[in-house]
Amino acid sequence: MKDEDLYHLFQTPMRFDDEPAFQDRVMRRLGAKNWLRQGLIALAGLLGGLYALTQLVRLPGLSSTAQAATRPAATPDATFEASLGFGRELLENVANALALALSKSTDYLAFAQSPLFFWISFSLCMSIVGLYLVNMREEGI
Amino acid sequence: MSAPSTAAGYRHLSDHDLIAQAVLGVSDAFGELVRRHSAALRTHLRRMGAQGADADDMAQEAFITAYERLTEYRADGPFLNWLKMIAARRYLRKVKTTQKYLLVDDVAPYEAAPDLHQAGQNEGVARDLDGALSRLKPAERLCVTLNISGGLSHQDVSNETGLPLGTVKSHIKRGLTQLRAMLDMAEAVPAVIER
Repeated sequence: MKDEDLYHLFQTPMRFDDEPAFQDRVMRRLGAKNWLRQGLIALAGLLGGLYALTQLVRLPGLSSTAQAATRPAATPDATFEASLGFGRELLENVANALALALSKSTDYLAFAQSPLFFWISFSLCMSIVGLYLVNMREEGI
Repeated sequence: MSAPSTAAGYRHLSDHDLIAQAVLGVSDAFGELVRRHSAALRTHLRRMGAQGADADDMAQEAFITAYERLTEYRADGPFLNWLKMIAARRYLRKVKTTQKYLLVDDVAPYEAAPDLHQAGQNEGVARDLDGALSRLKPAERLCVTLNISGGLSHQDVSNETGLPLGTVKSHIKRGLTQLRAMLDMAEAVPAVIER
């Protein structure tokens, strides 16, 4: 047998009855992984945003400044209120509900502002980055 | 280049065009790459020695890894060889952690040496590469497959498997000699029986 014949034999794939099912499985796993990743990114963004918000809310002296700065923007648009009739009240209710929800979770917020929380988060992030780099090196092409 | 509107529309595109589309997030383009190369990748893993369900799992993982790392594909060789490399590394990692004995020289082949008479009775065995591969020692089979099917040089096979270069060369030489002998015999036997 010649070398090229042998090479040709190696390049000839086997036949599989479940090829469409295999392709479906790959694409489903890919979709699930993408969905999970996007979900985790969204969750991380939400948690990060919440953490940033707590930092902003808790800063002494900032709230009155922020209130003063946002007051003109909070003034209802006459046209908007006239057309809908509930613009200002709705915004105030939403703001109150948010403030109430935040104040009810003070225990968690207090923990989220502690150095312990920062170091735990930081360590977790560094571990994830480390694992990613190790994995990347192992599978580097 | 505009993307085809249906999955079937991707069939006329080259691998490189499909990769370009997949990098842009078109999953149908990657689906076409999976359709095109899944059989070859599953075959490659089986020929290296991976068993049925394990081989399919590793092939799936290889496709997923490839999708996540498409931007790293440098197009300096066929896309299929890149896929085979990813899959081979997965298989080798598994072998090194759970089946180290497979790479030892004195491990017996999966199947016994072929019986000349039996081979003659089955005309279908002519050019049965997979049957012949299963009669090689696991280390020989692995090195031969990585070299011929995976397109790796002897040095690359040595780097990937962790075996010394001299050992890899002798595995490949011995493996190819036995493969040729078995395949030639499978071809020749029916003629002998007819006499």
